[in-house]
Amino acid sequence: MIAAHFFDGHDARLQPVGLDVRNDYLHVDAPGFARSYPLAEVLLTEPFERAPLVLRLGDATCEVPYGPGRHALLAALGYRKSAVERWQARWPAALAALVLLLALLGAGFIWGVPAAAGFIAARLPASVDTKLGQAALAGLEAQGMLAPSRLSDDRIADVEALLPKALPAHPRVPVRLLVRASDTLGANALALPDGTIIVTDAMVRLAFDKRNELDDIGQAELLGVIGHEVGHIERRHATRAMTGSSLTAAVSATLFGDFSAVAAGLPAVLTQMQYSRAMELEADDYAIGVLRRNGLEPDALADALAALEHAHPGEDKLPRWMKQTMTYLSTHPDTDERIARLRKTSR
Amino acid sequence: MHAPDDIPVQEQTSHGLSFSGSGAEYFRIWIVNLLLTVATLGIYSAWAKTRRLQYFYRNTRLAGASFDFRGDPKAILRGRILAVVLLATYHYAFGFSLKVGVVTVALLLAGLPFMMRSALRFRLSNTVYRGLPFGFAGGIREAYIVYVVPVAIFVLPGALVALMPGSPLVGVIFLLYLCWPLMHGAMKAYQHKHLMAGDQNATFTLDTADLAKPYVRAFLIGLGVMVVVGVAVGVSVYQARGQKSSFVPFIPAILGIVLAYLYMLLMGPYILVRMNNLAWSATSFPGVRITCAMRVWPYLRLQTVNVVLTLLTLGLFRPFAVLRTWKYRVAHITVDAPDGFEQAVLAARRPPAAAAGDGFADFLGVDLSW
Repeated sequence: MIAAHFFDGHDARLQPVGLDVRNDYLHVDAPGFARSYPLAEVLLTEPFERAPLVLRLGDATCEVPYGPGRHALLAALGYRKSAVERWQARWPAALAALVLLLALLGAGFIWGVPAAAGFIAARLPASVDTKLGQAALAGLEAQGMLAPSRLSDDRIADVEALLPKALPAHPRVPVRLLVRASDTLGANALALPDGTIIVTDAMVRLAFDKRNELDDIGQAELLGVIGHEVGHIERRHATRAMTGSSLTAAVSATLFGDFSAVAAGLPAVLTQMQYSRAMELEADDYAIGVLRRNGLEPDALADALAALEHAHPGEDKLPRWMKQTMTYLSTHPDTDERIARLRKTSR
Repeated sequence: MHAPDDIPVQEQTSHGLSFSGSGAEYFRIWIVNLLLTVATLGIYSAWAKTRRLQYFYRNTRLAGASFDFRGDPKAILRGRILAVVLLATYHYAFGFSLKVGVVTVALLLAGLPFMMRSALRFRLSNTVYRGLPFGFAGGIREAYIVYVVPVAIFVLPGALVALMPGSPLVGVIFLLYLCWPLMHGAMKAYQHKHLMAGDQNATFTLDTADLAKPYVRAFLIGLGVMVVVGVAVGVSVYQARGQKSSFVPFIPAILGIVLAYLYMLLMGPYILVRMNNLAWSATSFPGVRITCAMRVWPYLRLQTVNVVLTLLTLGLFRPFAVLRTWKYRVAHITVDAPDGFEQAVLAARRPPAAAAGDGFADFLGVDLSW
């Protein structure tokens, strides 16, 4: 006999009873009270270490308080742990779960999310790119980040003439090139998802020679830069990156939603940047192709990058260890790394 | 049905809740739950939640009996899928078109108050004590009165930004946040007023304004802090006059700003503790009175340790923190039954199936807490 509390499910009375398992029946006995249930109808819920055992008997419930006799009852009821219960019962298995979890999360963020993002992005209609691009351009203009170019019309025409050289035979979307003045962006070039490439005045000036002319070397440098941006557009990087970051954000919010906003936001930021890194290198490769096609060496893009690095020297002042850590955090891979890569290809 | 007359009944009239779970045991449950949830892309989370609630409920005991959770994980899963779909729709609706966005926001405004009520019904009617389910008898109309404004505060700003960027009206919506104490009080009152244990209705003696009082007190303390910070900054500016670049004169200002931050960190737990105490202590069932006596400073200390250790262990302390919080809350609830607990609960019966059942809540285990 094992002492238990019986609740009939119709009122809240606690009835102290004795339990006994005999001949495939669970017998519930108290003075002036006896019931028996076939074992097949007894539902034993998951036993926790110190919590009472809960037996569901149709409408009624039996609670067996923690104490001796518990194991005998479990054995008599023919209780067998489920796989999950066995797993969480032992420390080594639980710690293995922790290791597996970390491995799974790592793999998910490194391969799973980009793959899923690629899959989704490939199925997004081109109109999404157009809308995103228009919204981005409107946003830049609304914030006063872009102003009409202050370069001469001839010069702008020179730059615009470079675009057809950078385009493939059959572009994925119609590509247009805008030369704009921007104080905030400095010497920069960006590709919007809809096929708009923006080159800033400062970027063009960076390619000028000593007499402030756009010579062949300068044109080659700009062609490298434009080729890089065309690479972003052809490979649909912007849409893919945005799909990836919203996907990562959704996944992390689901996983760590109850933890903290910081923890939830971080993986999204990290992987978004990781994407851009892989994408930058891919766009560099595309630019190499463009330059080669025009009989030029990838050195031209390396020179442009070196000039850019020179124009924005901020990052160079960081200590080496910090720069290395930053490489994995930064949107753009370490410029030195890219320059070295391009020079190696030139040889 | 009644105690034999010759045995003197010396029944205890005051009962505390006790908790028998351990951090070590729950950690193992938590980590396996988390792994399976990740491995199944979130599908297992419904089962994980069921196991978590069962662990906490069954380890919580009152007057010789423990609590239990009987929710169907499949219903919880359906509820979660619905929640994810709604969130995703809300997130991307305005990206599609203005029309889709407006329709989505209207649907959310119309649907969320109903879902809040369903969530309360689902959670309570699946919480069982002594073989009887708890329940929630709040009406739909009241749910809309209570929840529509808070839902609007969360849903509308995004919609308005999309509809009329740069309009000052967006700022007006944020003014509604000033009414948050009243909204919070109204939600709490709604949740407690309509509690049921079996077929017994709860009595709730407070109204919205009473429940908002902790906010008023926090606000008054805040005014005091602002005065102190203002004086500190003033002193700093005065001292800094004439001196070129020295750190010393700014010490009062820095101390003042630290004080302001501390105030913001402390007020959350302060309001939570006070509101919980007020709300639970005002809730009673026929013959049974509940008292909740959590204390601000010990609770604050507990949560500070929880946050620090959770951060230091990169989240691994999380299950211990959850368990410690639950244990603290449970330990500060007392249940008094002047005529004896057993006698008092005899009044409760199983509620008629029609009243307990809620087709929507049962099918979609809407549970807005994770």
